[in-house]
Amino acid sequence: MPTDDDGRVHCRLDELLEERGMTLAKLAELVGVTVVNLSVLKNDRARAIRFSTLTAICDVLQCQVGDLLVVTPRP
Amino acid sequence: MAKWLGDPRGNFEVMMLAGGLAVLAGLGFIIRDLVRILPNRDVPVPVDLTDVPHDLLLDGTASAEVTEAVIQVSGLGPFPHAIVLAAALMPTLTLMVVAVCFAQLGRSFLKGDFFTAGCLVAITTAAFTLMLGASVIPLLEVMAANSALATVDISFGQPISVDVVMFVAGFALGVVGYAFQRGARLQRDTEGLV
Repeated sequence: MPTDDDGRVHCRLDELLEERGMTLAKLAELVGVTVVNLSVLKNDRARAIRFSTLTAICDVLQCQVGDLLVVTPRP
Repeated sequence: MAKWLGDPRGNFEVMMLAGGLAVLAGLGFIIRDLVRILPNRDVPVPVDLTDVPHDLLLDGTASAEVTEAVIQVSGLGPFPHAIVLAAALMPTLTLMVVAVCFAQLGRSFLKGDFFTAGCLVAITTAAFTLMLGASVIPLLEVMAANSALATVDISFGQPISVDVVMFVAGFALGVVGYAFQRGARLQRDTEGLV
């Protein structure tokens, strides 16, 4: 079971939003996801992400999946 | 009326209330049975006469076939007395366990908790109780009738059967319980999904 690796995926949504000067609320509006859900993703509390959500975020932020999600090294 | 029936909150409240009332009624029945049976004097015991039917003349012209009777016995031995007591109390206890489970389910649903461990336990307990009761209750009733008949030196075979309706109800509830188990797993899997 990969439960030990839960939480090693870091979401760089904060950095990407800052680079683009966009707010979380605006992104939520453009992506069609609730601010609460995006906040969960931004704060690394998400345990799974739908491909549709991922694609929509990448489309709006004009980035690749790898730019949004990174796997942090094991402690 | 239709609006009230379609209101889930109202339905859950009724479920809770009905469960609570059934428990209270059950307590009443238990006290009544204890008062009737514990003194061990003129204890009423239902006897199945299906295999030895008797004709009963009603008002001189019409007749009816008697397939059930209640005999009153006194001075039962400790074991037959315990069996008669268990046979009388078991249906009520079964009803009360199921009622408590349904009241608990109504309470959980009212709070918005559907696929929780508590709901699973309540549904599974109710299902097992009904399925167990479907065979144990008729068995105890047959044993109680045989014990009572033996006390008055009469012996004829009492038909042993399973309460099919109760068993099917328990089985159906078990299927619902399985669906809840799958629902709980799905809910767990989708926690944190964005």
